[in-house]
Formats: sequence, C-alpha cells, structure tokens
Amino acid sequence: MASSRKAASRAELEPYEVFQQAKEGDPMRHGGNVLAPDRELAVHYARELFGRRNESSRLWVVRRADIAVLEDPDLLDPPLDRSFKKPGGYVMRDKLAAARARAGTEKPAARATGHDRTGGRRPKATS
Amino acid sequence: MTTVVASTSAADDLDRRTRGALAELLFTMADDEFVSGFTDSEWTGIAPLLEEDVAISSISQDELGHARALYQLLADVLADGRDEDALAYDREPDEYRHARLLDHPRGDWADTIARRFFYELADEARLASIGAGYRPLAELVEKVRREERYHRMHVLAWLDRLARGGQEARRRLEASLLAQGVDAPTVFTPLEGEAELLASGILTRSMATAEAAWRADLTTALVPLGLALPPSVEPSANGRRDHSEAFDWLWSEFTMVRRSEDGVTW
Repeated sequence: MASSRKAASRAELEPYEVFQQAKEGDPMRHGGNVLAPDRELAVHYARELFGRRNESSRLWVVRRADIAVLEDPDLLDPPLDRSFKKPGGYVMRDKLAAARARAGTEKPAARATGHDRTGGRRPKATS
Repeated sequence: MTTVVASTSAADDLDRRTRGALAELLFTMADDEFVSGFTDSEWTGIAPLLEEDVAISSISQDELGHARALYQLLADVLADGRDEDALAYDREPDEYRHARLLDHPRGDWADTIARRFFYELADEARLASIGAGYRPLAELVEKVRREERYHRMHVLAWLDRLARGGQEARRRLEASLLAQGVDAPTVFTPLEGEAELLASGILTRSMATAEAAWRADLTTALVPLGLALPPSVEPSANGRRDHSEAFDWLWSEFTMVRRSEDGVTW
C-alpha cells in the first residue's frame, strides 16, 4: 500500500506499520502498512485500509522508524551446528500427559485466562 | 425494496401535516448526504495520495449509505409507491432539496475540505436536533452519529494541516472558506413544517437554534487557526432551491445508469 501520487510529497510521508486484531482475544497480527505525514493521519488511514469493513476490533499503528529491528545474521543465524538447541527427538507429549494424570490437572486452554487479550497493553477505553 | 401498501408504518400514527413536514425534513437530510457523497466520490482515483484516496472514497460511501437509509424512511412516510432508488434517482435536478453549499463542485482539495468542514459540522448540529418524536428516525440518527464522528475527525485533521501547511495550502484554504462560507448556512434553511416538527418532538430545536450551535462549533475550530468565520446572512427560503450548473452535471452523472434503461437494477 506504500505509494504516493507525487514524488514531491513522497519525502514528507513516512511508513507506519499496522497490526490488527480481528476480534477480542485474538492475537495482534501484522496487517500491512500505510504512508502518512504524521501519527494522526496514519491512524485515520489504518482505520480506512484495515478497519472499514468491520474486519478489526483493534489496530496498533507504529511508526516504522520507532521499531527496534534485529536482523544481524551473526545473532540470528550463526554458521555453526546448533541442532542440539532444538527439541527434536525429545517427545514431550506422553510425559506431559502422564504428569497431568499424576497431578490431576487438565490441559490448559489455548487462550490463557487473565491475559489482557490485546497481546500487550490495553489502550484506554474511549467513548 | 420497501413495500408500502400492506405494512403498518410508524408514519401512520402521524397527522397529515406532521407527516408532510417529516417528509420535507427527510428530503433535505437525504439529499444533503446523497449529493455530498457523490461529489466526494469524484476523488476516487485522483486523491492527493493513495491512502487518502481510500479514506475519502470510504467516507463518500458512508454518506451514500446514510442517504439510502434516509430514503428508505422517506419511502415509508410518503407511501406513494416510490422506493429508495426511485427517490434517489428518478427526480429532475430542480426537485432535489440539498443545501446550496453542496452545489459547489468537487474543486481542488482545499475546496473539498472547506465544503466538508462546513457541512460535517452543520450535519452534526442538525442530527443533534432530532428528537424521539419519530422513532425510526431517532434510531437511525443514533447509528449515523457514531459514523459521522469519524468524518469530523478526518475533516478537522485536514483543516488543521491546510491551515498550517505553508503559504500555498493556507492561501487556497482561505479562498475556499471565503467562497463557500456565504452558502454554508443554507444547511439551516428554515423548513416550512418546522412548527409541526417541533410540536411533535421530531425536532427538539429550530434550524435557527441549530445554526447558532453550529456557529459556536465553527468558532472553536477556526479561531485557534486564525481563520475567519463565514458571514452571517439572512436565511433565504431558496437555500435549497435554484441549484447550480455544477449540480446539473453531477445529476447527469449519477442518474446515467438509471436513465440508460427503464427499471434497470444492478
């Protein structure tokens, strides 16, 4: 969606990343991005591009420049054998089931209760 | 489609004069939203930037949606066999009752923001004047106001940016406010049936009182930006008649499909 009609105005626009929550309790997912001259219009455009068809119950609009990015391959994908850090070959399921049976507990629900359902901070209620 | 003959309608509880006055009010509200929506849809594809293109197009769709709901109420009140499409599309240009403010063509972006600024605030002042006298209208207005809140946020954001966005933007905005300010109060053109609407509680205040509330809202928005208020003009009975050539053109556009074949649907 990031494009602008005039080269002259392009310099004044900044990308904002938009995260959307389809319904209360769902995780926030990256929806896409908008170009806007400031935070207020970024929220307006996010509303129109990701919320005008009732497809979102909450949007997070973040200036891309404010996002801390980590993409250093030395940190994320070093060229050494790290297979011993992966849990492959160690089957937990049966052990967990046996432990639950001993303790008499149920398998927890996929959505933890007590979570604030926004995936993070809950914005202040608006009228 | 609205069937009029067999259904019992809330409008049947109104006396003849009040029913006529309600129809007059609904024509003004529906035509305002309809013409405003079509004028703004002229930005689709050519708005200043792509995101704004989606925003203004979506807002104009909202206005057409409000118009449709109002025409449906009107069809019930008139009960003359016309449905919402017939009311929207099958009238001659001089039968439309939108305010002269909305006769102004799309123009440049500053023209659109100036017109929308005057209209959105006027519409809110009018919607705030609708009482519980006719329940279907009161219920619709409650929903419409929730959507219009965003329209005001959008136009006020743009008024602010054009006013403080450098010489060129400010010069154009001031010229547009000046050119359209004269016609802005026509949204509050007195209604012939205003006394009946007030007596039945369909309106809770007169158009003149609503206009005073609107002027207070204009002052709040314009004064901090150092922009001039529109002049006070004597309300004219013709504020919703004698439409412009620009409207004749718009009418020929929005009735084109409807006129192409009798009874055409899509």
